[in-house]
Amino acid sequence: MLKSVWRLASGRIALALLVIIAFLAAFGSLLAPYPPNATVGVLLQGPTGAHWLGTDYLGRDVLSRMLAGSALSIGGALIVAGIALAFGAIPGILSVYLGRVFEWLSLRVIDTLIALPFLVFAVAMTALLGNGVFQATFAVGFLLAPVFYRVARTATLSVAHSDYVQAAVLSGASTGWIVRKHVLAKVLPPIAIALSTTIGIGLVVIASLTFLSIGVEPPTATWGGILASDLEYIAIQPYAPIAPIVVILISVLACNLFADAVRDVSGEAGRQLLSARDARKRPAPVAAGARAAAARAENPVAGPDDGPADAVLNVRDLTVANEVTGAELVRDVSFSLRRGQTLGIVGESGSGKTLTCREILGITPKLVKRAGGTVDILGRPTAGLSKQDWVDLRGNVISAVFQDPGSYLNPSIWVGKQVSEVLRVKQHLSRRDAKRETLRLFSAVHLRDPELVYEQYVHELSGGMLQRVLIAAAIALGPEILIADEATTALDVTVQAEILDLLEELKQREGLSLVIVSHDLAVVAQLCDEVLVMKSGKAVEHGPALEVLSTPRDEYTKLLISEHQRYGLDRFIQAKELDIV
Amino acid sequence: MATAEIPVGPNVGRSSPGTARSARPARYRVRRGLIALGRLLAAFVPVFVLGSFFTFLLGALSGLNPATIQLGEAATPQAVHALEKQWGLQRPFFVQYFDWFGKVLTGNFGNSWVNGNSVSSLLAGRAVISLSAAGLALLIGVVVGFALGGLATRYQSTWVDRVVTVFTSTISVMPPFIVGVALIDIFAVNLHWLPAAGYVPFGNGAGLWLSHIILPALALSFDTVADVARQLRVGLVTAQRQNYVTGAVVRGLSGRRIFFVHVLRNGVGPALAVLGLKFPNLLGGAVVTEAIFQLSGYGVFASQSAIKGDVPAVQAVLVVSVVLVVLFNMIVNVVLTRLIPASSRGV
Repeated sequence: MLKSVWRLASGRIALALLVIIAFLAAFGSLLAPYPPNATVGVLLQGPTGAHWLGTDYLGRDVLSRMLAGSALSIGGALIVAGIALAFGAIPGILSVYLGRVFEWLSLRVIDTLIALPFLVFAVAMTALLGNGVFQATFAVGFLLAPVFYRVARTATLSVAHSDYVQAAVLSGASTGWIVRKHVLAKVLPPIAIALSTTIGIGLVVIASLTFLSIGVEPPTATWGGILASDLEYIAIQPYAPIAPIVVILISVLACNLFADAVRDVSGEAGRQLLSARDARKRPAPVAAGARAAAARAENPVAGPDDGPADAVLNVRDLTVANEVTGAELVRDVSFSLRRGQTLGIVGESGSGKTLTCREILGITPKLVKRAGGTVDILGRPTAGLSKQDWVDLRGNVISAVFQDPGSYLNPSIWVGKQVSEVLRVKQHLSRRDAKRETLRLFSAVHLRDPELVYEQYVHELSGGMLQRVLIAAAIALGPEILIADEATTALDVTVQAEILDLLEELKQREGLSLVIVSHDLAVVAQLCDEVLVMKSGKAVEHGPALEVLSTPRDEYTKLLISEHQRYGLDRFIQAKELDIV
Repeated sequence: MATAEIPVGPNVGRSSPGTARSARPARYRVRRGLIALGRLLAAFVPVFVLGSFFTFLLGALSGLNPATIQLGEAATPQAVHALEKQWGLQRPFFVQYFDWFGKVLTGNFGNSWVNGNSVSSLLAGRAVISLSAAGLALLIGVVVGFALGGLATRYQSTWVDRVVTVFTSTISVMPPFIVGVALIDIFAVNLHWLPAAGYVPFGNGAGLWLSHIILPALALSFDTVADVARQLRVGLVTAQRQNYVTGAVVRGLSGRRIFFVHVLRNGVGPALAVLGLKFPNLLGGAVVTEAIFQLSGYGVFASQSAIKGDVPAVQAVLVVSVVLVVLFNMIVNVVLTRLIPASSRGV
């Protein structure tokens, strides 16, 4: 772990600072040029050759007092972290094993400790219990215990109930090996993070307490105490507080830097970070996208094709690529959607069908961009559209519904309000008219009890109902084109059929043109006039649905259809019937 | 919580739009509200009960009694016994506890062991000072934190984002007592812009009040500013990646509307939650900032009473601070549930 931390620049700084701080805590008082509590110079003097940091109100050497105070200031923080670890980790581990009563009680105690105004309680505990260094470190350690309780509990839970530990036990691994290989790797980083942040907090709290001269009596030197006396004489020596402030801040910063570095290099994200750093040192791969684009420029496609005259959507040679790697995710896809028709796009996951739809809607993910080809919506190319043009286009002309409909609705707003929002913003309807229109739409998509659904949240509705709401939102403004991207995939079979019926009905009634994306041939066969089969980003077959499904020419299409026949229910039923006969 | 059942009655069917609003949504909402209230109480009552018990236990464990304070070294065993009887300290621990807890519920914290005055009246005036500082710090934390977090999100992965990140990580390691000393050094000693210490009530002039309270509030606020900014950025960036943003884009809503209506609402969750966690720090920080800026608030009262061994006074401060924390967290929780109804399912 330390080795990984060392690989980060911030980790190296943190480790170096921590070594210096530890050295100061151990040997600081030995390095002091003067006795810390003796008057050795003029009162309240600025920095001189004899007194590098000047003298305080009693004529004591500030540098010596800073060095002598480091043992208590840093050592106190270390003891605090140790006590917090003991008070937190032990009940944290036990909470997993000692039964529900102990678990419940300890969790409530931890909740309470977290809610307490920390510093007030630290002051009160220290002073009431005897006002000494021991009481101070005990009180602060006790109040900081919740961090370790949580870390220990989480770690114990993950180890106690994890499949991989059980698998290792079953496969006969020794306990020592399991602990080294699995348990420590998982438990150490969070404990290291918690320890170093707690030491940082401990430093601040011990300094705060000593600043208030609680827990430590003068003349004992502490960083907090020095700062307090500097504040008293700040009018005479305005620069004196700089030394204790800088020292305290650097110590805290070192602890936090170390915690951040451990956080950065541990876990899955850390491994990725480190390997990404390694990768950056290697020469960058030549952009494949640029090469492909150059190749295409040399072989221009024969003449532009505007598609059929009644096409509402026309896609020509669409190529979509990842900007960074240059990988082409969709290559030279062309199709047209005629008014009132339904186009089906079929293909396995990763074949580029969703990306094609997203490019048509202008919502490709970051770094994925169109690398060639044209998309015309109602005869208008989408390439040069401004943000405002897109806002005008989406919802009004082209709209879409998706798989997992619940995630496409805001979880915090009534679903009805989200539909009426569209009507209010884009058609400038009044609140009441928008609501009335929304309820009409809800009835149109056959939602039972629109009034009730209007006031419900996403988490209160079923998947089928959510898809109906999403469809209502999509058709609210009367668009020409509706793209249904795997819109029925995660739904129950019966619900799936209902949604498909609804889409077909809306197509007839509202004059929609549909693009239906699915990996399910049955869906496409039921609804579509035309079918486009995609594989690895390319369109492998395109034609009228009946033709493609009955006499497929491409190998992949044939495979899809034969798989469907082999495993489809029809064949199973036919086989049964044959048996009976 | 499982998906709430939709009540199905005999009259449930296709109600055509435009009919009179049925009673069901209203009843449904009442039930939803009651469940939320119950959950809220279940989360916060234990904190109050345990926090106050802990406070009382602390007094008992201290082994202090009024005799040592009032009689000093000259105490005879008879005199000590008489005093303990007078204060009811000879009774069993739990009898004393329930007696004390009952009085606390009515706002009676007993009398100071040092001067015999009612602790409640001693505390009331001081709490105003502490709450003005903590409240202003909270305001600074929210306003500046939201501004920084919003900026960092708006200009994500540009130099603005990096500057904000460096700034927030820097100020987050600065504890209030250090910031306080530095602020006095800069604004009071060197620049002579603001007074270094003291308090002027709001009634004597808002400007004067503000000039005395702004530095302590600033000193307290750093940590909150940093955490609110960081959590807001995390929350907003996460919210921006959600599907419902894509959904809103596809419905044809503008980027500005999506940000303010959909992203902001869901993205403030972490920042609000961290505000609930920071409030105890703001109250606790009063102990040092009040000492630095010589404000006679409840923090100074707490540390002075604790050093004197005035147990009832300390207990009062601790219980009041627990109550304030609990109240504040309940408010945060209610706001959170109103903004993000789904968040209440996880409590």
